[in-house]
Amino acid sequence: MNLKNISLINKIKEHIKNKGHKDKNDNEKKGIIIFSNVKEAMKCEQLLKKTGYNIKVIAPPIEIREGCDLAIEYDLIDEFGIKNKIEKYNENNNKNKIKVLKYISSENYNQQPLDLVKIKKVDDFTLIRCGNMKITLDKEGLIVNISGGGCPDVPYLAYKLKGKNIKNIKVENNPKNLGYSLCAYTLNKAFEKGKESY
Amino acid sequence: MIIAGTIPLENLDLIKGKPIIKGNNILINNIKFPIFMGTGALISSCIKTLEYFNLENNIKVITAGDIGKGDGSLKIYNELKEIDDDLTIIHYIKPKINNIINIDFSSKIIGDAGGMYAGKAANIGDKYYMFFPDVGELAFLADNEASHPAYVRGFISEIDDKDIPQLINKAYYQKMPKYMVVKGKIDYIVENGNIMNKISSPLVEAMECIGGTGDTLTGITSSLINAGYSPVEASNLSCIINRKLGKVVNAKPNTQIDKLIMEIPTVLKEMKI
Repeated sequence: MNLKNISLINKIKEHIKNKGHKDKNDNEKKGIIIFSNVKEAMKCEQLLKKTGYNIKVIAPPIEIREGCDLAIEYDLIDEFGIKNKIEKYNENNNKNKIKVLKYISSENYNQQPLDLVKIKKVDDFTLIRCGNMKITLDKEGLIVNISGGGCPDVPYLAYKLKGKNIKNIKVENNPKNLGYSLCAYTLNKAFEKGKESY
Repeated sequence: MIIAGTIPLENLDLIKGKPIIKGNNILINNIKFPIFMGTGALISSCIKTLEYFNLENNIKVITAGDIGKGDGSLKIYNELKEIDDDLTIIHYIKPKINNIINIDFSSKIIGDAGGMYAGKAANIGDKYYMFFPDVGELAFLADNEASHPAYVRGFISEIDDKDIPQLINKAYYQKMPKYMVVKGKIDYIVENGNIMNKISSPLVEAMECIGGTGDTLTGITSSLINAGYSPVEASNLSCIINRKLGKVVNAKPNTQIDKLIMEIPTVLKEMKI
């Protein structure tokens, strides 16, 4: 870390301190990472969550929103560390780099992907729904159907996952890692809930 | 009638042509893909419905491979800048505001799946002729701030199935098409925001689980419109036909959509349409 960057971080820390102590999730100054597609955002979310940064996935600002897109909001104080983390990851993952379009500042951005997951029994099967996405499992955990959604990777995920047992699906083959869209991201929430149940 | 939508195959280039069903596959210009795959379920539902009226030659398909990266979707958007048919269904496609606003809306456009998401995100739902949301998607249409169903705000997404009329009402405060079919335990047929009819029987609960039952509904409705039925008549009939398909095959949560598609002529015949 060079002196210029240390000085920048100290200035930001000082600025926040002067504004008084606030809850870390409350009125902390925020930044947003913008990506060219949902896949990059999902990779980045996984990386930053592992390292314990206070981040959340949100919709990008309306002026640059395309319809199926995802951004990451972070505490501005962490910006340098986050940039560093992504750079290091990219150095070690030449073929699977996280491609960040830009970092921007944000005020009161709170449009987040929904989290509500509903479960219901149909015959001997379990239907798990998150928003527009549904996954159906038999009593052994076999994925028998995937429905809902409108992005092109939904039928791709159905093709890849149907007929497999949810208990045996490795992380790299979950909807979040196989897919590219917000539908995949939403399906993953239903998938994770299903996995917990078996 | 044009059907525009992606197939989840990598490296499948743009295909335009008339589709036929051969066995369990769709053939377009000698390119083959399964009838259950992606936009395939919609295409085959249209073929099976229009065959009944000897109108299957009315169908033209514009498709391309896309596993979610958006490459095939872009090729389809480009093809839709000029449309030479009076009815087009836009199906599995990556929602892109900058692309959907540039398509030709001078004829009737039916939005389902990504085709509907893109229209709502771009706030141009009123340029469409018809939408086919389920309950989760209706909540998205009703949420003036959501740009994708994933961003529906909690207080809207938690509205129960029985509050669908409230959601329909809320959706029509946004820019919506003249016609809408809300599919679910009860199907709602909507014209200009007014509920024209509700269809609730026969009820086959397993239908909610089966991927593609929305595609068959869109395919049958669009085909009936193409065959001369009014949108409301077509919607009433297709909601019943779709439910009867579930009955005919004795649908279970693990039933696959191709089984239902193949029975469309049986149900049309039974209903003496």
